[in-house]
Amino acid sequence: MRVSALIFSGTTALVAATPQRVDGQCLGQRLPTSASTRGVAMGDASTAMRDDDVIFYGPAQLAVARGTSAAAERYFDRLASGTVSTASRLASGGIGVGAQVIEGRNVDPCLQPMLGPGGTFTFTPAARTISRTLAVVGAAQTYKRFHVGASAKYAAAQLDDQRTSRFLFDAGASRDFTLGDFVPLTVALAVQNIGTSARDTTQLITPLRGALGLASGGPVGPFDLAIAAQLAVERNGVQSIVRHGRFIPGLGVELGYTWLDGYSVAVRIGERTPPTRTDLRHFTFGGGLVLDRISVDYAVEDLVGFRLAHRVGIRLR
Amino acid sequence: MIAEMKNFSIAVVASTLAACAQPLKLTPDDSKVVLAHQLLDAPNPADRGPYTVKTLYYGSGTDKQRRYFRDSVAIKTKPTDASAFVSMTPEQASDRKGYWGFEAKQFPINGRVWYPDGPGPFPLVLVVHGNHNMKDFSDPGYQYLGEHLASRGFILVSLDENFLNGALRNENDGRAWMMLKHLEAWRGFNDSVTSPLRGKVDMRNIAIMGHSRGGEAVGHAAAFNRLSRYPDDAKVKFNFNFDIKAVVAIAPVDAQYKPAGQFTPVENVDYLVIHGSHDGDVSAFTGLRQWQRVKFTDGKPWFKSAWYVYRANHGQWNTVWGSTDAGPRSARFLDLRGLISPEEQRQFGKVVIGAFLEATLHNKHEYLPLFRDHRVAGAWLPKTMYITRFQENGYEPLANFEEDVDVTTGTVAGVSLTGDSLSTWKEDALNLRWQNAPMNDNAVWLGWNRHIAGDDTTKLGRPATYTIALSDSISHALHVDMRSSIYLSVAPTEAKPGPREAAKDSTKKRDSTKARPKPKPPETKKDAKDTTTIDFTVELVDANNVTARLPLTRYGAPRRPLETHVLRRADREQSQFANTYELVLQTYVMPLADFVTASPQFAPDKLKAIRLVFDRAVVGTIILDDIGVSAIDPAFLAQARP
Repeated sequence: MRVSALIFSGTTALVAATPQRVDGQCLGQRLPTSASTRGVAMGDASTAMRDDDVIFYGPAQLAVARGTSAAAERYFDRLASGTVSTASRLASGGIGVGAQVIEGRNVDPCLQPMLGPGGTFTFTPAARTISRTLAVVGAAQTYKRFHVGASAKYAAAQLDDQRTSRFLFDAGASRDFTLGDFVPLTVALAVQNIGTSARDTTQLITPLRGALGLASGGPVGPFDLAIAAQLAVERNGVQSIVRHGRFIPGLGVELGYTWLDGYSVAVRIGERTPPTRTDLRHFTFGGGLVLDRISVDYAVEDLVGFRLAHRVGIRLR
Repeated sequence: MIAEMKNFSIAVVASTLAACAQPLKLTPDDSKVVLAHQLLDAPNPADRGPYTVKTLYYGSGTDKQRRYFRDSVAIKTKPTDASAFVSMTPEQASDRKGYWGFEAKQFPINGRVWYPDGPGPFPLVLVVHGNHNMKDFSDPGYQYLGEHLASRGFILVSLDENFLNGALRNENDGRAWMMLKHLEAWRGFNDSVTSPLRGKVDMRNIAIMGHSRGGEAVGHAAAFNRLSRYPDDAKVKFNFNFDIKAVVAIAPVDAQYKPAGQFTPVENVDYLVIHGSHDGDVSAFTGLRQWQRVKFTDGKPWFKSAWYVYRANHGQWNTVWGSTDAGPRSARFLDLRGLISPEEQRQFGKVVIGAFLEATLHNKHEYLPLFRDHRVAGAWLPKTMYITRFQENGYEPLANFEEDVDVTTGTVAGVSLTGDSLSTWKEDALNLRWQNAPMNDNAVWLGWNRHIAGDDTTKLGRPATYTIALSDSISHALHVDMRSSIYLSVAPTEAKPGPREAAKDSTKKRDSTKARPKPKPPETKKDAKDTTTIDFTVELVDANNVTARLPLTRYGAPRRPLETHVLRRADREQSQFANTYELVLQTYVMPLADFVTASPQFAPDKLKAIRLVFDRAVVGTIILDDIGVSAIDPAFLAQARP
């Protein structure tokens, strides 16, 4: 717990220290929600992964996830996020805890366009400070070959002095398969933000979301290949899924090389459907270095306007 | 500043990486000395024999995965119901049926056979693999042994039990039972008029051999063979009673299955177990436990032999398994640099297994001395180090330290134990190096240091001794005479007791006004490396107090523990293993006739005491076990020691 506390305070300090320079652009309230550094580098296809930060993507894999991690990301000068999570074994399952803070700051005054009746835009002052906080606690259990998990989360958003918060729930199931000669395949299904409302969706960025994730991998010559894929659908408020076309695919590939048990390097690349009304674009990439019980992950997200967001995570196993 | 930070980071990372992978650490090889002589005057059992080798397959003829057992079977066999011996979860059963096309109720009797081209009958040797990736079929991996043994007049059958491999647990009774069902099939092959093997099989001369879990299974098979009912379910009847004469366990596990909750007892067979020090799968010599449990009770000339092979691994005795004992990627964590080559390891297999089968099934007694003292075959054995245990049916224990907690009494009434000037004298349990698992064997620890505490470092006290005294009655009852031999099993350790206290001068008057300083306890340096040979004198005393003395080294090489590091990472090695060595005792068989030669007045039939005199090394500690006497078959002593 001391390690987790240290990581958490370090991450918070890193987020707080992120420069808040004003550059004249207006920051919307819809903030990026990625929570896993490795996952981000692999197209955010994290639902079937087995890292501790899977708690943000679906609780079923908590049954097999182990470790403690902290990550900080700087999207651009006025927006940064920090994430901590931990997962450990409990009987034949596992438990996990996670927290995420995203903070942004706008120039003052900053006007943001709002689509009004009749298709006309009006400009309204955007909030000067935007923050989103997420705290999750979850558990999973293995029944026969199925992992079943549930988590409860507290989501809060603050736009200047206006605060919105809500308790929500996630549920999920996953199963491990073996393809051919010992090629593992994990299939995971997650339903997130159960109990959300249309208002939560826009203010807390918590759409009702279903995600089907796959994760597989195996040796390729001297290397280790990992593949993660995901297809998510979001019910965005009162609007139907199909009408808004919110099928959100993601795909990521990791190629790792282990030169000594517990010591490895990896490169990752991902493609995803970025969340709407954010500056995020399709491509992600990154790398990782594992030094025994510590792994350092790095991810880069492609942003609109030829900019990059950098994310660094540290994981303890 | 940034450059300094960068350099510092690089240095930290580099030193972290360097610190984790350990350098290759091996005990210096002494084989040039120990294996310098070839005294056995017999054909090398690793040489190809005179027979042309033929092969055939037998099996179900319907195998979904194994084309040899589907398309190439010369003899069709009926499947057998093994469900009483194999338990699977419904998921496992379903997966396995999907892959193999059958379930435990229809296990096939599949085997590949190498046999001599001749009229026979030839002894039958069954070999069964152990656990491995079930889809990477293990049975072809003994082809080298099959071709070799068949050329020397044995029929070797490699059994297909791949369908028992994978993630099953507690299935070694099933592996054993399948082995016996194969023998039932062989009885038919030998009797059937249509069989190509009709009359070629000597069913009165059978050996069973197993590797890894198969190595445990052969012990169960030897036990089941003489039982009338399955110990775990008496409704299942047995009716085997095959003439299993010899059992070979290659790097076996032990007690994964325990019949009726007990360690498997094996009686009245010749037994051989071999194990590599650098086994990356079964990383402890667990086969020694079964070796200890093999008993000879029917008065027939059985023997048992155990070989600890330095730098051999688990898989190289099977060509399919190879050097990576824990799977294809295990080179990431297993240190393979120290291994002897696969060819050398298999050469060892041919020599020792070949000689064992020649001796036990072909009754070629010229190979027996190899098992008493491996130094007699220096030209045959690959150049590495071996520690060997040996016992034959004539062995009578004097002290095996199992019977009670009294360190002064022997195993049989009339034997007493005394120590003199010893720094260490304790009885304790021997443990395996893997997680300190019990070896189920007790021994005595004896330590000495002839240095006298004080400024004069050249001053030596009298040698410490440990005496096994025999009463007249026990000496008479054991029929000790000129033909007898003394047994000792010894392992020197690294422990070095501190100097002994100076003898008190009783002529000096103590000043009672001064507080007497508390004497310092002798220091014991456990980790200090010392390469001097731990030798001592074995002194026999007869009823007339005539002594005869011979050095232990004449009968074997007393080695300090052989340094063993299986894993590449030192921290993982440390967390998994209690020691960097396995405590394997070397058996020394010392003929009383040699003592008479050394001291003609000595009367062996009046043996009164066996005294170990620690006069040949100033300081040292040994573990001693299985002290006994035997009217050993002279064939074991036929070759003079080097």
